[in-house]
Amino acid sequence: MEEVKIYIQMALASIKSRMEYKASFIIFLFTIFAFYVAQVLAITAIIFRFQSIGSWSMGEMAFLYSLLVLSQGLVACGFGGLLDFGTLIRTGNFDRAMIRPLSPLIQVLMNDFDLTGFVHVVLGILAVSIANSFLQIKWDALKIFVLVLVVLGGSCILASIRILIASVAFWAVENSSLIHLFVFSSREFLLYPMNIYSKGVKFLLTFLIPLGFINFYPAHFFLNKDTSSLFHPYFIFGTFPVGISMLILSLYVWKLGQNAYESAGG
Amino acid sequence: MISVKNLSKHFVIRKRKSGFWGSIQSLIYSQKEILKAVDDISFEIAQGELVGYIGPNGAGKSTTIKMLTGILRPTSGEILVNGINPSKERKKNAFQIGVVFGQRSQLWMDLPVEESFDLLKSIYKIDEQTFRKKKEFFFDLLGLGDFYKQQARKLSLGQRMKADLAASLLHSPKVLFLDEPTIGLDLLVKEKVRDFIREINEKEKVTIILTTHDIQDIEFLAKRIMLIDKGKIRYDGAIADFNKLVGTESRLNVHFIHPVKNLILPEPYSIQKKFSDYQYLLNMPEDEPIGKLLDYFHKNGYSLQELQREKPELADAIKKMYAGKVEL
Amino acid sequence: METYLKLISKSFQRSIAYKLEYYVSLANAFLYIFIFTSVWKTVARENSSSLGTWTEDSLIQYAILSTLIKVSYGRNESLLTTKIKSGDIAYDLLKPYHLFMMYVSDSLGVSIFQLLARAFPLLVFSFFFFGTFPHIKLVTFGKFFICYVFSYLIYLCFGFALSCLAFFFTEVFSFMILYSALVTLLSGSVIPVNIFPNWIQEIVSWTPFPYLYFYPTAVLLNSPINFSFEKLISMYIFQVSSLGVLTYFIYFLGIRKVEFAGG
Repeated sequence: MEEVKIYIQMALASIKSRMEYKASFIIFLFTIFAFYVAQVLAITAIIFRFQSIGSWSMGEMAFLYSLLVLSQGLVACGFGGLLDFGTLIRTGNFDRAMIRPLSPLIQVLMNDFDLTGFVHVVLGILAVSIANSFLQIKWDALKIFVLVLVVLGGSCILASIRILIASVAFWAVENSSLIHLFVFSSREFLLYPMNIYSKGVKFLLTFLIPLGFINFYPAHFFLNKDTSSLFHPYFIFGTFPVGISMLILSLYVWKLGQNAYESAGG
Repeated sequence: MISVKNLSKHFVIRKRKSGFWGSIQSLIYSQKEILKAVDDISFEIAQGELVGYIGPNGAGKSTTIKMLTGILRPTSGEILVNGINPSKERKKNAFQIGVVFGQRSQLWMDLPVEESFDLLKSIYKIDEQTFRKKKEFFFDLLGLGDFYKQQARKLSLGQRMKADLAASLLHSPKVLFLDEPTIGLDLLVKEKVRDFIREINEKEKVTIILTTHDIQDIEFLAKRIMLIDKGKIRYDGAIADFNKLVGTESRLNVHFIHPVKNLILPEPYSIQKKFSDYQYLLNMPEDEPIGKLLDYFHKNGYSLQELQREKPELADAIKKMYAGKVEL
Repeated sequence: METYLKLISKSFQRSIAYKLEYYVSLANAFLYIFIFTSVWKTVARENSSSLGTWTEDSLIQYAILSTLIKVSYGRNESLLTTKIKSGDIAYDLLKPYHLFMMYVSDSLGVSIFQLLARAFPLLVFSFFFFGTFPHIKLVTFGKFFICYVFSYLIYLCFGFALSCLAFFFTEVFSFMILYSALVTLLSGSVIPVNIFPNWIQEIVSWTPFPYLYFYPTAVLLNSPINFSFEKLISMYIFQVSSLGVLTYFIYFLGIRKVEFAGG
């Protein structure tokens, strides 16, 4: 479609804009890296001290982490614009997107396309290699294919959550705390294997906000872990279908929000 | 061209209590209230018209414009812009309208103006030839060439406004919405912008809706004004008739040779302001023959140095309206 | 003085103004507490012999209390940074109050709100759901309170210094993240520092971070911290003073920059 070319052009323009600020670009990359390293070190510290968490070993935890971070890569690049959506609405700058003959949502995404999100992909690959060095996973064509699907599905789940939370701004405007809760804090859950949580939370993370499908469930497939304690063994294949369904749902809610858009002031 | 029938937009407002304890109370519940920002308005605008859309702050101007441009969905009523319903066929409508928000730019701020234009060329599917012609036109009339390669963020307000105007017209829209296009501009640039807008309207027959608080913009550009207040249209017609309707009067600036401590005037003249014993500003009804006053001065020994007549200004009429001193 | 009280009140009201934000942040803190207590529960059960002076119960108490301290600090760096970025700071510099005091008043307002509206309900909920409320003697609480006041000063200095960086850099976000990273790692917000070997504790104690969460919580729970309470206080004074000087320095340079830029 012709429109796709336009969106790519907008994304490139966004990348170009960011390149203008070379200094802060590099500082940002560095600090994001530092943040994740600190996060990883904190967990590593626990594992070093106690050998495992919930019977997941160092290598297995690393793999769990890698799936999470890889999924974040795509989302950080293309869906960063949604984090500040509340501000976009509050300042009235979203109006401009409504006036152009393009999808307002994709405009918001492409206008804030951020290549630095790629850092996550790098981190993820690093984490997978570390996991591999501990575990010796036997990689074959099937596993790689499933990995791609899992990362895509995981990205869809994360993207859907952002779209849903951003949509809230159409009605309530002030959604910055929701962003913090659902986009950032929820990640904390995924740093640890879900089996350490209570049944209620496991239910929440499976059926209500299906974050578990991003790394916990699919990890069982790659690591050949025992699936008897899960709600259903087939869940380990659920990442992609869950991701697509969530995406469709979130886009529908966005559409509703756009129609209810009240704009800022008057 | 633009047809609006019984258009309304209602907003739900939550009332919050102020103060320390009030804020705690608001945490649990808050009262709801319906604000009728636009209340059952109707009007028609023909192709090629330039209409001034004015009203006090919070009157419903921006809300109307936002509905006309497809940003907001009406609560009720019907809008057709060149046969298209803006909120139902948003994308289709986008190709035929141009919008300039005085306070916010549509340019990509971190990129040179040239790149913004290039993006717009793609977005609005403008072919190379038309694009080049338009570019030349804007370079010519607005002096765009002086800052075309500059980063948008670094432009002066005047330059940015010119670029925004050009950007909004790149795709040859049939309707142009201008929201405070001259706000904050210096006199020279204001004049240039006004000339440009007039040129676009007269030569290219672009229908223009101008929303502004700058009355001079209106007087220079528009022949027809629509005045909205508290969601309702209070006046829709020619400016000349508006002045008459509101009943604003001419003013007379009189300078006396000898000081006049107490100036007594015949009906229907009155003193608007006394500057000094030598200079007074008088109110004078529109159709009154000035000879009567001159005779009066002569008969009563007032020696005139100078007399200046000031025609009624739209600004005065509007001020009167805003102040609620007029019922239409 | 009245000005500052008014500022505190306004800041409190501002915190309440957003209903949704209130309930969501509550959920946010609850979430963190839940995760950490789950982690510690699991870890403690699997490793009951190698916990040192900690028990499953006390670890859970630690997780809850340190998170509550975090909640009580609040978060308000954005107040100053947006003002500095937009230039509105010029108005504040014209007003007859000291910028730092304004920041302090605002932080206090936020913190009082946090304590009453968040920390307190969280305290009740958490101990109801997750653990047993620890026995705390009045003396212990008194010691804790002294530490808390110092910790709060450290928090204020960090927040103010970070905000003042906005005078020099357009994007302060990176520094905030860096600060977060260091806090996560070294402050004991998740892991009590004394669970690690002594040499690690020694190194970390020279940075200001463990003074934010670890030491106050450890004092409250009577967990051994390698030095006497008196020494701890002197270390606090050292940290607060050096951080205070650094903060003032950054502020001073920042104000100078504004004055020279003018316009």
